[in-house]
Amino acid sequence: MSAPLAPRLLEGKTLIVTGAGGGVGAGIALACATHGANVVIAARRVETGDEVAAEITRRGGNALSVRCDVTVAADVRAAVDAATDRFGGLDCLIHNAVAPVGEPHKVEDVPDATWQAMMSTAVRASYYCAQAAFAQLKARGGTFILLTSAAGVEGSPYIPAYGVVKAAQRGLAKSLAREWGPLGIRVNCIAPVAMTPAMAVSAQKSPVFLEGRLMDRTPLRRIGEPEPDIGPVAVFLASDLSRYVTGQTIVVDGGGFTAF
Amino acid sequence: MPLDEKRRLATNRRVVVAGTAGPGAGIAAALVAEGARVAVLEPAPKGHGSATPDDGPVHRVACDFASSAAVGAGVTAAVEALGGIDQFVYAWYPEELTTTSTFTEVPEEEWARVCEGVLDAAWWLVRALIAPLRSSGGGSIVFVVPTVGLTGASGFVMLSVVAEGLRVLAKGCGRCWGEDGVAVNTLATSPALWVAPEHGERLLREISLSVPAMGRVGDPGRDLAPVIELLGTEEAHFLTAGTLVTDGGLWMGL
Repeated sequence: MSAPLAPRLLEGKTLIVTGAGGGVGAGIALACATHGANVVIAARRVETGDEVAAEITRRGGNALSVRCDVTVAADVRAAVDAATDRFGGLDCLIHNAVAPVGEPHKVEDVPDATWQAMMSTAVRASYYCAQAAFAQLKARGGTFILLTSAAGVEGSPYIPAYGVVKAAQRGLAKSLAREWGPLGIRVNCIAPVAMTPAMAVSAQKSPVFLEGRLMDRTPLRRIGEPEPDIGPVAVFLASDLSRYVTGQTIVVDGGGFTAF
Repeated sequence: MPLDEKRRLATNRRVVVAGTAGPGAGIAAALVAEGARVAVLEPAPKGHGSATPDDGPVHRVACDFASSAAVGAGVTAAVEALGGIDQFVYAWYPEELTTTSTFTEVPEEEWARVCEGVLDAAWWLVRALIAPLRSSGGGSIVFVVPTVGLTGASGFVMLSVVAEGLRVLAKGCGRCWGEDGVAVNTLATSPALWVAPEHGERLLREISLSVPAMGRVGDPGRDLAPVIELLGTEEAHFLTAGTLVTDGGLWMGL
């Protein structure tokens, strides 16, 4: 395991990362493990989660892979139970999983199945995650992190359904932060832009958009990488360094979105 | 065109308002008083989507917001009753959303039916509206939301989820339909207008250290309807995907 530049900020803490079988979720899981966290890799396709868990183990970290469809309440509860059974508790749940955004569509052309998949993996699953983790987070003064998007702030002409559900998650985070703050639980959002397998597919289909429009508005002139670029922000929000940060969205996109 | 003429045209607009309780009712009444022809989509389980024609200037359309087909039928009935549509105003928040609740005590059934149900309904509404708005040569959609989606509010997690989802739905629609001449905006209003007075006081303290700059939380007819009316005029045609915080100067986070 490569030595972190900072102290191991998550030593002894236990996290669950949903959608951690690849992309941003895997990058966050790897980054958190590097900082000493016990990481539960919750993935719908358990074979992908197994690979990430194996990589963490290979680097000398602690990981547990569990099959978890975040649209199934029992699966989410089982992931929390697995974390507490294996590692003795839960300090942080990071809900990253979301259905594929699909092809670009105007609002009136979005397939019903896409809308429903967005709602179930973002809005319903956020409910499941928050409900399932609450008792453990309360017991340990933990934190709940939602992966959202700049599209959830400024809307999107290409993936409008995605923008709506990501905004709904930001609304959830802000109110939960107010409701759970007095209980010692922090709630925050990360809005990343990162090169994931899904974005790579999009890039192949629409290189003009990715290399043109998106890059033009990104001052750092590159698309983020999940582990080195997004992961550290998750580490910060999961750690005690952010103990006075709650109800916030940190946009991690190379400076593309600057509205706050 | 003289301003008076523009206003005269504006007050003959054909407006569909979703939501009959609370601020929605006050907005509808004020628009009617200004001369607009208004149809109100009234939430009614198994509503058949037909308008009552003999109810003065307001056509009431029973609409089941729980299914895509019923929402489409409701919109069709409302638009037919008015002979077209120039503006749509969203102001529907079921009682469960405006009643305080502890998140961990919200049953899954209620979360699905109310919180997700309202987002579903709004999604179906805008999809049903775009064709008649295009047929009218363009128009305006206004989502009236409480500011809790911007600020967060303990005890009102579901309302916050819905409000912020609607606000960004407005932005997505605004981006998609600008070239059709359809402007889509959000009016962010004081939460005190939507919840019981005892909770309103608490929410205001939660949102801001100070009282509203205007010294009051606002009145739907006197304070909100004129802004909605403005958004339906030619003068406001270049304003879309915006959030107009119309809370008398309480929350100033934008």
